[in-house]
Amino acid sequence: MKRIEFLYPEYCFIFAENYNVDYLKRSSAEIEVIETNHKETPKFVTEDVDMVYIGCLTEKKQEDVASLLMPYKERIIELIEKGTVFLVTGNSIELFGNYIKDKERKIDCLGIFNYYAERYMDVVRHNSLFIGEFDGMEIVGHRSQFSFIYGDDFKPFMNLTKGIGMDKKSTVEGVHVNNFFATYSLGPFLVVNPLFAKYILKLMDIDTPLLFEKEAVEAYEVRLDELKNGIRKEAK
Amino acid sequence: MKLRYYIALLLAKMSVIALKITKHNGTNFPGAVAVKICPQFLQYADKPKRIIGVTGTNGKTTSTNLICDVLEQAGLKVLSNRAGSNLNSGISTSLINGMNIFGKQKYETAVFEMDERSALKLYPYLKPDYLIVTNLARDSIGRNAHPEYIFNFLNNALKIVEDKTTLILNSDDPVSSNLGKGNKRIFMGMADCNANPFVNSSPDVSYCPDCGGKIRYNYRFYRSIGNFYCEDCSYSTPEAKYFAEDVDLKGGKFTVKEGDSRTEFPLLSNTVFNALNELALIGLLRELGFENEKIFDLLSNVKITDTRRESAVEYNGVQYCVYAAKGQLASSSSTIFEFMAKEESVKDLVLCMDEETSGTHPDETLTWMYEADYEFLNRDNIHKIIVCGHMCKNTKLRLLLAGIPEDKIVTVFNEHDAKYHVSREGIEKVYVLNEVDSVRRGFKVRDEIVEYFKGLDRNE
Repeated sequence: MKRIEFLYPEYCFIFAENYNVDYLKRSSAEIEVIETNHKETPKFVTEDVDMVYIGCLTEKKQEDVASLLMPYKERIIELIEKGTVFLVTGNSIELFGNYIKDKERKIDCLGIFNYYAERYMDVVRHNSLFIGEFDGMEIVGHRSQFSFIYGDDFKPFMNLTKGIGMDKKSTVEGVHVNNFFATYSLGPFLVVNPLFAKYILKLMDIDTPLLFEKEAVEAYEVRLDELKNGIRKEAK
Repeated sequence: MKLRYYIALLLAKMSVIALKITKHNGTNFPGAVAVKICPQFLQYADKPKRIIGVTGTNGKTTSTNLICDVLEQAGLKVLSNRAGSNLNSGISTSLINGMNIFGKQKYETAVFEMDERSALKLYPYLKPDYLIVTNLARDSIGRNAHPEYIFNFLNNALKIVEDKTTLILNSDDPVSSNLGKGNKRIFMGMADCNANPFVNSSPDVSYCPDCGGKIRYNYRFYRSIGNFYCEDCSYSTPEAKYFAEDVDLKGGKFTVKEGDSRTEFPLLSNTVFNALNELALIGLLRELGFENEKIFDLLSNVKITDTRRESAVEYNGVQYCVYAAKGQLASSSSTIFEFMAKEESVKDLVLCMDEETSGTHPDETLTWMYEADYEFLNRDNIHKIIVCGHMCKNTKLRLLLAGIPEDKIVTVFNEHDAKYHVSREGIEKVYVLNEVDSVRRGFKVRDEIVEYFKGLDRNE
């Protein structure tokens, strides 16, 4: 069995991020999902898991989870270096940088990558869509956030062909080191991006079709086309 | 600045006359003009002596209409924004309409529906005497982020009016019942009424705001609304001043307990949502000094204006219904899906729920679709689902993942093609679920279906 650890699901699926692990699990009978709540020590601390997933949080819970993960920083670094698959979506990406700035407050984060985030809670929430390129794949992303990441001393996940990146001037998105992938994109990222979902499965040595792969790819292609060219005429 | 205010008022009043002449009543234009010229318009505007606000994620419009109807029934002259928007411009328009040309307010009582995100622009200037908060749930991700964000936003705004505003809160909402600890708070609660709500896959709240523990329920009414408690600390449903018991949704009555007294009232609707809206109204009326007997009489003479109530026509024994849904809003969509599942008729659904107004840019996110419980539609009484619009392929995938058999799903990019796929036999109803902001669209699709079938029958 391949084991995916879903960290703090009670906090980390505010925009249906649970579908990321659920989709993989339902696509392969080889996958077991371990849900670790905030009262428990993550499995990855004492055992090897095949993948770790963490999703989007409210701002308050983001701070709580930063504290929860802090004792395991070295172990997380070790796992990243070993090639364990990590998928980090939404504002959880900020947890892996140095800190989050919120007006005068500075919230310490894991400091695994050399960037910081800044929140702008008093301004209009930023919403946008993007298209990124990774390993020959086109990735569709959606962001809805109060904060941006600053710094360029990290290896990006995607080069963008449409939309904005880590901050409003950036043309790159996310972080990718070994099999660690982090993106600001929130929601059911893997369902929206079936090609990348298959890529993740392959990283775990699973080579089965995705659940409803034909329909997922068709939906993805329509979505991608819309983002590139606008809504098709027959839909108007 | 006062000069600017008077110029704004004069021009806004002139625009009201111009709109009346050109038969464009009911827009927010006068208020928008006034706020543009004088951003502090609300601050300077002469206001009614008593202001009642209604806010919350769901039920604002229904509650506002109900309160207005009852107060008018009681003989009060009530100013409201029921015909306009719940933003700064809509409320300014109402105030302008209520003032004479010299700026003197003609109304003594106002009932305003207030957008949650406009709280900081409204509360400091309107200083409502009473603010009903219906509930706080998942809403537009792009504007309202998540319930915790809206809670914090409202809570900060309420601090500005701590000395003035009495909150009327739903004690069974784990989110909004925690609002305004510095304000005077009146809680409304309800006994179990065997609502048997479905369980939502993405709840509005899953953990305690105090300690992070799991929120559990003694009983629920819908979504996250119910008699709750934290499994790890003392956070729980606050004690209600007005508590509804013996809730008989089918029989149309409930009893409201206040201290040692119990009074039976007619229920204006058979839904638990509206029972809670009505309970808040009763609490408000009691706080305003109305006697229970008077409230009973008033409630006996009003109806709930449900802006989304289904509208049906019948043809060949099949009901063709239009039902407004809030696409892109998971909580609202899930509630409607639950209704479609529980409403026992065998039916086809025509989903016209994608955003219509984005033009060529598909700015719709997909997250709401996975927060919404499409799983509820996996029932035998849902005969076929015809998905319309540019998101149809993505919706189809979502339906498949929800367990809906593929042979029940049809996708059409153009909603005008839906009529070719609606069943003619084996169903009792067809529901067109249209985006709430484009009601005409839903009616058009529904009417096209009926006309198409009539045409087929004529040709046969």
